[in-house]
Amino acid sequence: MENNLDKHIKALTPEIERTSKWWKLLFLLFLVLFLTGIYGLILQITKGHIVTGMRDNVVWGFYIVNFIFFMGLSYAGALISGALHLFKAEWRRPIIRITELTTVISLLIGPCFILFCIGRLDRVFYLLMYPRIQSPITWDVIAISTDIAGCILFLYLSFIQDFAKLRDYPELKVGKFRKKLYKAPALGYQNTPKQKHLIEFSKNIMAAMIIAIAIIVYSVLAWIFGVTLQPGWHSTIFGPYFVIAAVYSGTGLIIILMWIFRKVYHLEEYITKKHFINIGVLLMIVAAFYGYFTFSDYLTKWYGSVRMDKILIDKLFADFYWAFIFSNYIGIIVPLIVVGFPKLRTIRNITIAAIIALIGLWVNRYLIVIPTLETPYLPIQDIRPDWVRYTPTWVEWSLTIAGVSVFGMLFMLASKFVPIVSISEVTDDEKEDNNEKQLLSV
Amino acid sequence: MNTSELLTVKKTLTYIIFSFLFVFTSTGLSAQDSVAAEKHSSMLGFSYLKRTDGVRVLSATASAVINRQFIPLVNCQVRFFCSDKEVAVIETDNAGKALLLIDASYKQQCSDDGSTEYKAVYEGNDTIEETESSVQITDISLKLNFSETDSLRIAGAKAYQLSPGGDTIPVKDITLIFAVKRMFSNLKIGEGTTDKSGFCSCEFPKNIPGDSIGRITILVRIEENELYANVEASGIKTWGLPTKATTSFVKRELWTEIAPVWMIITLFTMLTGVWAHYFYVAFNIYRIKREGKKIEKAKKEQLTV
Repeated sequence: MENNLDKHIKALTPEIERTSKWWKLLFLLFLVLFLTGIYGLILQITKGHIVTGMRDNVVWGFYIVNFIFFMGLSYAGALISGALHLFKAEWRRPIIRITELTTVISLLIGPCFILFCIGRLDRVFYLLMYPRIQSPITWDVIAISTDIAGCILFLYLSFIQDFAKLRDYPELKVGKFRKKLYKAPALGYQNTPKQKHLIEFSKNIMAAMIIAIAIIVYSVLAWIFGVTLQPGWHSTIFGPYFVIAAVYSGTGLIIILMWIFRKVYHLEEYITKKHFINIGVLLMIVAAFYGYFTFSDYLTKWYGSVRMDKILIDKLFADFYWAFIFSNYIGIIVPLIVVGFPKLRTIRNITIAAIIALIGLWVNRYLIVIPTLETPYLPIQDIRPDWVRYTPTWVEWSLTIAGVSVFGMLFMLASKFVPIVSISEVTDDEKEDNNEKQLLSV
Repeated sequence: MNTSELLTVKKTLTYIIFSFLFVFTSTGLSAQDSVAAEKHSSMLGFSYLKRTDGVRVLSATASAVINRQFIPLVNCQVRFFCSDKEVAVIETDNAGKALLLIDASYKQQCSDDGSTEYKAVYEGNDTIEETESSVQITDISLKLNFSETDSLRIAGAKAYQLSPGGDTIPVKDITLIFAVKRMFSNLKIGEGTTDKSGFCSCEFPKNIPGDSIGRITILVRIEENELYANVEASGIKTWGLPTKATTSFVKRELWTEIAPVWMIITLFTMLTGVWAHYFYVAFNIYRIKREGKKIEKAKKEQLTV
């Protein structure tokens, strides 16, 4: 077993031990994009929101779209990692670290976009000082902070065993400081039955918790829209619709990350075609559900013929025609076809389908937020026509790209500190296989 | 499946996807394709209203007929004329409406019969035909007066014209409508025709809700008259029933100072449940650390022995 452990550590730690030229270049690129975003943010803080495309009508622009999008990715990561862990899906082991990291990193980035959207950042602490429980915004603050705490705890639980393994692995070529960094959070873990039981038991608790919290938190986010009397938002279906959409986008992202790390870190032995097909099937099932919810939502609005809903739908099919078609037709149909036909289920095809699904979901979020705000029940009288239509400025684009860059940077940094495939999960898998073989031989 | 079969399947799939997209992109949901082909006819709805303060409101609503639908012409310029003299050029709003308010002090030219022509013109563009609309208005004024005898409340109005010398000339046989201003429209309370002295009155009911002290706005109107178009006069009287505003908003929990009990209980139950589990897991992490220390201590003792 120890030889196998050595083999896995050797296979999974090279990126921890050395930093390639490409890694540095990519990190530098992300850093430059991030700093551009920071410059945009400084400009926005000093000059005000006039530097953005948001005006009196469309007060939520790219920032809220990104907020919903990143939070969705996070909840999907939580739901998938929690469910895979709880149901002991064996194929989860090489990919569960990616899902856990997706959860936490997205969860750290998402709420930042809310801050960008606030005109008076100096008053943010009022939310904590004078919370009103009856306000959906307060629900969101409480829910997101609870979710962050839970997801970090769950991630840390999965790190402990790997930290201990890296701490005890003498051939790991990292500096003394890095070794010390592994020692402290490893908590003196020695893989005793009691310690192992405590970790497994705690992981089970947290897996169940984060599934429940992810559903509640994303529903709360959906209710911020659902309880608002705006055309297109005031819908009872929004809670489950948002949860399904979140799982859909998150599954897409996980497939993309699996493809990237498999290629870049040469993890072909660990992340196999089987993993892509399994998670691709999940993508296909969720695509069907997501399509069903989308259809239900728009069908009831269209059939109801409420004046403002009709105007909104007409606008979606006129001003946002291609975005609507891409998001709600192509973004759903392509994953269904690619994964639905076994012949098309290649790693490349599934990844392309996942990219389409992910971009489609971002566009879907845009279509939920912007056209509705451009179609208010009570239009502002004599408003300047160019204030009714929303067009994002370079500041909003730069901060959006900065968000994606931070996601990339944090993932890259995390992969320098812990293996992107969990060593403990992979070795546990083999131990269980051996136990089963022994039982069969008896 | 061999390579040729696979290619056939791929071709079929591509055909299906493109057919699907074609069907959805050619449903005619956007009317823009047919716009450029030929000029669409246009219409200009035009109305005149003389308000209590003497201001004349000219309203022109421009729309184009595209695919048998009236599409408002947004941000289009409408020229307003008063007795062939251009008085303003106004841009239409999102509903295709252009409003012109002519002050009471503005002296317009009259024709021989004492009327004035108001005209609105939309000159069209490359795709929309030009259109115009006009009304011939004879100036008239309304004066409201109120009287109260015992328990009888009478709202009366006089219709008159002003002679060039400034004398009032009563106008007879004009239908006047009495109404009370409500939030979204006017509530009609009576109707009558002016007599020789240009006077008309109606009894005012006692059960009309007013504001907190019973104030109501009473209107008298000439509506859609061939000669005078729309004219109105209004006055405020405390003839309504004092009404204490009751709004369902105060019962809505989201607007109250404190959240409803069910919400507080639900939130705190959930938070307690979740955070209790977090603390339990944190305690387990502490137990793992304690176990690790014990093992380390035992190892050290073994080494010293």
